Amino acid sequence: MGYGSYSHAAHEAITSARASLPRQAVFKQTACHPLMNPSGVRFRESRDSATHPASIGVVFALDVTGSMGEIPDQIARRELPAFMTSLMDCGVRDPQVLFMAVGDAYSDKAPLQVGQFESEAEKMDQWLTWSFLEGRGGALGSESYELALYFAARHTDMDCFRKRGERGYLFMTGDESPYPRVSRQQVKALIGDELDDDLPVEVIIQEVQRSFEPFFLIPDQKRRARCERGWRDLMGDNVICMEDPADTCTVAAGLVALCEGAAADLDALARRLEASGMGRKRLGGVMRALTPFAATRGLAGGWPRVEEAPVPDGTDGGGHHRP
Amino acid sequence: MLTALKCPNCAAPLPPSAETVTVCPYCAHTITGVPAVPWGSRLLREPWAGRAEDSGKQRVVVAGRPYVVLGRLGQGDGCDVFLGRLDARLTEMVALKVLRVADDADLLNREWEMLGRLSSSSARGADFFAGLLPQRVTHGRLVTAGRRDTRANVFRFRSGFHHTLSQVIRAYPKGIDPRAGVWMWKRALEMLGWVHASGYAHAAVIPDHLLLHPRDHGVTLVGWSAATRLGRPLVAGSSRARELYPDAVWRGAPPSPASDLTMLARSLLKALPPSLPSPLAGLLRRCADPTAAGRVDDAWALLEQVTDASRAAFGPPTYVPFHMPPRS
Repeated sequence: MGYGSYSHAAHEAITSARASLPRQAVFKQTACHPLMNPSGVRFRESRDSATHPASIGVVFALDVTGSMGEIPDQIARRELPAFMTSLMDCGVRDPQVLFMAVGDAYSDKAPLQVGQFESEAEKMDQWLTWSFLEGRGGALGSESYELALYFAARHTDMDCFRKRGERGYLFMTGDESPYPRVSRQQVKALIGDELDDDLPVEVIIQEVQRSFEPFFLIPDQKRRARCERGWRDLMGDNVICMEDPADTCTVAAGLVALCEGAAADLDALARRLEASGMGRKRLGGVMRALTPFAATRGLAGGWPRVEEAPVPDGTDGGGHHRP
Repeated sequence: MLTALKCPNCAAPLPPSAETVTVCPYCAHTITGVPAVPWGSRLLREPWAGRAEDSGKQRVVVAGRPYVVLGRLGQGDGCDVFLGRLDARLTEMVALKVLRVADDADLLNREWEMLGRLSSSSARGADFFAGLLPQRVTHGRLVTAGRRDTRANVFRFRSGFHHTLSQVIRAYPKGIDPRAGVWMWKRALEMLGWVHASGYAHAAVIPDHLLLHPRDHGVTLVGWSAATRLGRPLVAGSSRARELYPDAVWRGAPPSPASDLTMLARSLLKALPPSLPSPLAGLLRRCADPTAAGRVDDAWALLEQVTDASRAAFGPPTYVPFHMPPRS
């Protein structure tokens, strides 16, 4: 897979034509599309070709439960064309995008749906809109994000990694925590793999980092409280708290730009986005979302001044005045 | 669970491979029908050897999480604050507040609890202001090689808020531009207004605890260990900033919105030049004096007065860049 070519104009035409359609008219699936069923899939492959000699795999694992379903909807209606162009602006010449839909394995009929890596506008869009937005999700504050991570870690094979040792990118959207373990029963039932035991989610996050730079995107500040800390304990500053779910694609493209060095630092990225016509308010939100990650990479305008000093051992006297 | 797939001929572990047919590197046996997961978890994970630039740096473990210490940001009465990062590939930048004076251990715990309660406040503006509070990561025992254990609170590092008002005061011995003083005052009042509306007083509004974002004109408060519910007596005061406390509070009276505003005004007076435009000077002096007649003790009401005084002194608000001098 992944042999098509990307055309902004073609994609723009598809998305703008459906801007006013109801969600059910864009996402028509009422069950998991047979071609997106992960059962028995050995590998989803992202391959170099004559027209795409430097492919880089980009996985979008989109939470489709409850209100999170708005993100795939927005991507399908508006964002994808701009995302692909900005990826290419970021120096990713041959992005190949795979969409996954993530739900809850305890309550959904199709908790994991997996497309193919595609370079071509129509195909990419087709996989996205073949996603079944089941929209139920779990009741316990968790969704089966760990299954998507498991699939990305063990069932993708990308030339960027295999031939060039470069990691692909994995963007997962969500507003809940993952389950603490990848269930062997669920893996068996949904994908078909035999595991000897459940896998702790920490293990699968380490595995996925081998071939991907993973990011978890939280859609807005309101939904941050219920899942941010848990994800940060797993993924640190690669957890990105956005201010508006509509920024998903811009934020993802910005992350790629910072990682690939296509933007020298956060300020350079801001100038580029401003030049592309982004309004100040939205630009501010995108920059605030990206700042912690950029700071971790030393790309957010320097560090505070520090002095060399040993960590104290708690044996000093003095301290506070106690009335 | 974590064992690699083995060669059926010689039992050697097979290397990671996506091929369905592979050759054992040890006995050259050809293996067909390698299952879809042709390697075990152990081979999929690369052992973490640390960042090259972190070699030789101090390492600590707080509540079981390993951190690299990048340097000291500052010192308070009972704690030292360090910049650090989680020692992992997917890292998190943090500020580690490490106990230096064992007697102040209770204050470290208080700070943790107070921030927990405040961050779940539902007072108006909570979405925004709770995000400005120090974000808690972990706390507990700090272990470091060759030294006694102590305790620490770990917070997320906030990029951009790199200077305390104390550092600003040292960098500008003749005083800062009064227009910069206005935004510092207003931003601090907004934050304090929310804290008071949530039912708490900060009780230690001193220059060391005011963190500034010079470019974005942001202000946030750190040092929450003396924060109290309104009406409760002062728990502890900063000996190095005695002159900023109203006398009654220093002696143990309950910190209040009024005492927070007094301490804020006294802190700003230290940063501003002696001669100020008169509307501003008068307002600041009234706020700094707990007994002054006609002073306003509500942060959001005072905010309006500051806006009016600033307009009277400087005209309509404009963005005036503020920079810290290099090497300050």
